[in-house]
Amino acid sequence: MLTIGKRDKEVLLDPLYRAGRGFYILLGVLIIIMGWGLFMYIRQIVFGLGVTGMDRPAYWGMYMVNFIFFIGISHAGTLISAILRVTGAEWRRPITRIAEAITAFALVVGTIQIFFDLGRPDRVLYLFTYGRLQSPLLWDAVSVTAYFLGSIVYLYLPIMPDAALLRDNLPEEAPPWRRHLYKWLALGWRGNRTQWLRLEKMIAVMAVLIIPIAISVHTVISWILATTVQPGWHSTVFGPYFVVGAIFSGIGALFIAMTLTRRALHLEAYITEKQFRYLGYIFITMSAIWFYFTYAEHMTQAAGQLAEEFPILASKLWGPFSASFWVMILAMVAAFVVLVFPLLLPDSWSKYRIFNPRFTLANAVVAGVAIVLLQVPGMQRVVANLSPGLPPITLRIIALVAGVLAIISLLPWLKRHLIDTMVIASALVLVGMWLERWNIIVPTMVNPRLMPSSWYTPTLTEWSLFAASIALFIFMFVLFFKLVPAVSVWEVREGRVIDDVRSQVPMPAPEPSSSARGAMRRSLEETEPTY
Amino acid sequence: MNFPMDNPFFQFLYWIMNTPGIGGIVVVVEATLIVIAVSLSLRWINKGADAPEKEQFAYPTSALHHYKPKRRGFGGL
Amino acid sequence: MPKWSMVIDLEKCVVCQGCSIACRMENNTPVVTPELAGEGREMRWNDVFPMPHVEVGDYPNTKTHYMTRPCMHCENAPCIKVCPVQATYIDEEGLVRQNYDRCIGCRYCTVACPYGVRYFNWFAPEWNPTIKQHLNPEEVSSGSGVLEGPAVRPKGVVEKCTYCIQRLDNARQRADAEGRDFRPDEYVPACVETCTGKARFFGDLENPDSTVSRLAKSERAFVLLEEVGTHPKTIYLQEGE
Ligand code: SF4
Ligand code: SF4
Repeated sequence: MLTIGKRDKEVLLDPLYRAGRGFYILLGVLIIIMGWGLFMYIRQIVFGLGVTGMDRPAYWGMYMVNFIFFIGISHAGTLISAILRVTGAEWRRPITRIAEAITAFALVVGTIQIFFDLGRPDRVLYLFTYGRLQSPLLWDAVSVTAYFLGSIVYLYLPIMPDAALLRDNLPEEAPPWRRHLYKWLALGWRGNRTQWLRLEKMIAVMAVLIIPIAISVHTVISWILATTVQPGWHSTVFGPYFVVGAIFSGIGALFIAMTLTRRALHLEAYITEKQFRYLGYIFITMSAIWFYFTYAEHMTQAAGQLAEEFPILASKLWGPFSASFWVMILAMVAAFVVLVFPLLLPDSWSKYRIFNPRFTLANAVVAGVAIVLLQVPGMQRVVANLSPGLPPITLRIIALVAGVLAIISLLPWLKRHLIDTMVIASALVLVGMWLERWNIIVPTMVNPRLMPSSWYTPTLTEWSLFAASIALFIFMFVLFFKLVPAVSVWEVREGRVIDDVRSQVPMPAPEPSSSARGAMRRSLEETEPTY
Repeated sequence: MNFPMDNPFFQFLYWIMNTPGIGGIVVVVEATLIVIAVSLSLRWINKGADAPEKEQFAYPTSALHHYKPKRRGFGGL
Repeated sequence: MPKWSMVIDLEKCVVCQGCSIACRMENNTPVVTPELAGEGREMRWNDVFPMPHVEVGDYPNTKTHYMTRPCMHCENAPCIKVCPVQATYIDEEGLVRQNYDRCIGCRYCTVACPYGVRYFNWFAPEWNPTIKQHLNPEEVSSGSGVLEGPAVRPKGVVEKCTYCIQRLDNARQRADAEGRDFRPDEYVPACVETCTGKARFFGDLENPDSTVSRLAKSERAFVLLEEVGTHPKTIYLQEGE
């Protein structure tokens, strides 16, 4: 009989047996979206892949983009939680479960994209009966299989003690299937010393094993593209570039999932600002690495100017793909600014008048109007008629200055609202990463050799299946956290024990460097040590 | 210089790469191995419940880890 | 073992599209409506088209180069390497073949082929009633799970130029029936037989005396995208300026 404290029980266990109206409404909406997606998919099977926007030469389109995107999201969890576990980052405890759940479900959704994309989904088993190891698609099958099984296990292991806890603390009114489920999940967990030691050992082993597997998954996905001889894809940097992008977008998804779960399940006492702050540092690092790779990839193409590669780069920089390319860059830069600049802002500055949300709003409106006037077709004539003296360059400057002012004046607000900041940055990064995949797949597809360049627009079918995929992801996520606690109960409690012990041990100050020593001595002489 | 493709070893490697069905076998073998390894480990954990120990821990406390003093000082605490 | 190869003399090509039509009739290529063709859904195993981005001279005295393009039957074919189920493969005679019964429609090969000569069946194939009555009934199939040649393709699979492999089969069978050895010059694809300008040659590249071998050694001979390293067996003869 395992016991749990009253507060933990109220916040973590009890909500599992309650479901409000919002929960059912959400499920209903998700089911409707998925139903629509299913309808569109059946329609696609009946009529053929011609109902999508794909054509010759754009043989791959949005399905492939989504495939890479979702598998990328799946790197949120397992990889991050494994790295944090291996490095013994204590603050990871409340968020590992959410992260690992993202992995498992994003992998399911990502794999489904392959079914969407196949011309003959009925023959998918041929991948096994006739699978040829030379094809990178098989490499993918090998590494995704390992990753999927591994992350399911990695998600399951820490659930065991929690399931036993649930089994032992089941309320009277709980339906019998729950009793069976938890009994089954707990797998005879008694919580004696031997079991704990064995469980911890296995978790430690899995955490180490899962890291190379996760890296292999996205590397292999990038090799699907990089092993072909197509211009723009045949690049050695793709492996690490994709892995970095995957982790980057994965953290973005994790932030959003964390925030929503925290709010929906009232986990404010568990998932605190600390988690957001520390994960935010990793986020900033990934962002910097992402910029580095993006620059490396495009700069080499620009400098080489190969006859086949350069038109593709040009189509991204100023051609038909400039919109998606620059929106991606803008989103990523904005995410970086939102993440980093508030950290640089001295606290004392917030007394200045310009740091005021109303000022931000005003500037944003001005910048928005200026951009609309500049970008929306036909608007330029309106401008010319209204005020003949206003050349576009003035408008551009106005847009730029107002935009910069809007961002600057927003900084103290961002600094005060850490969690909202992270959500904003994550949303920007998710959009940017999806566009990045798009900018890799589609421009190469529509600019083939020996053919005039063409264009690719996804149809309603592709958008519907995208929406349905997202809905399926949320659906699984929401249901899952009605079955198991969103926070790993035993890990959090273990963390409390460790914190307690820590607070009792007087920690020696770290050895100061010689230059810092003098300053420290002086300050020590001025103030009495507090311990 | 041409790649020594007439070398039987490389021919064997190419056969592995190029024969339909081998990929499927590899995936199935891999999945089976993982499932077996995981099941065995889970059984190992499950069997841990039979150890003649009275105490039960809902979560790892210091009491649990005092049992193995070697583990202290690194990682755990 | 012969190595089949095609040589196309661009100097002699008159851009009549005869080869494309002959190919279409021989191989039952599905016909699409003009709207679908505009969406990039048309299928042309063989195509004669103006080279994109290659125009010489100043307007109005410009000159466009035309190119005709079947599958190159690459010796080192990127499409074969990426196919996960060996639905496309190269046989001992150097023909890059496509098995419609095996293909799972992943379109990796269409993405990997640098020449863009692979076509996907976006919809179930359609013909107008007259053509439908005259479909070529031949097919190449050895046992179950193999369907090649002009056999009518189901939707969702990839197809491409086969160098009219059914004609090779037929020629072999004829030789067998007549109790003699098969000679490589008994087999030519439909486009070669039809070609108005006699610009196409077909034969055995292994035999140094065959027409294609001699033409392949010509100074005008070149292959498309040599830098990609695919070693095509469809060889072109340069057009004079
Ligand atoms: S031309 Fe394309 S389809 Fe033909 S063999 Fe070469 S890569 Fe394959
Ligand atoms: S589309 Fe068919 S032939 Fe092409 S790679 Fe996929 S399975 Fe092979």
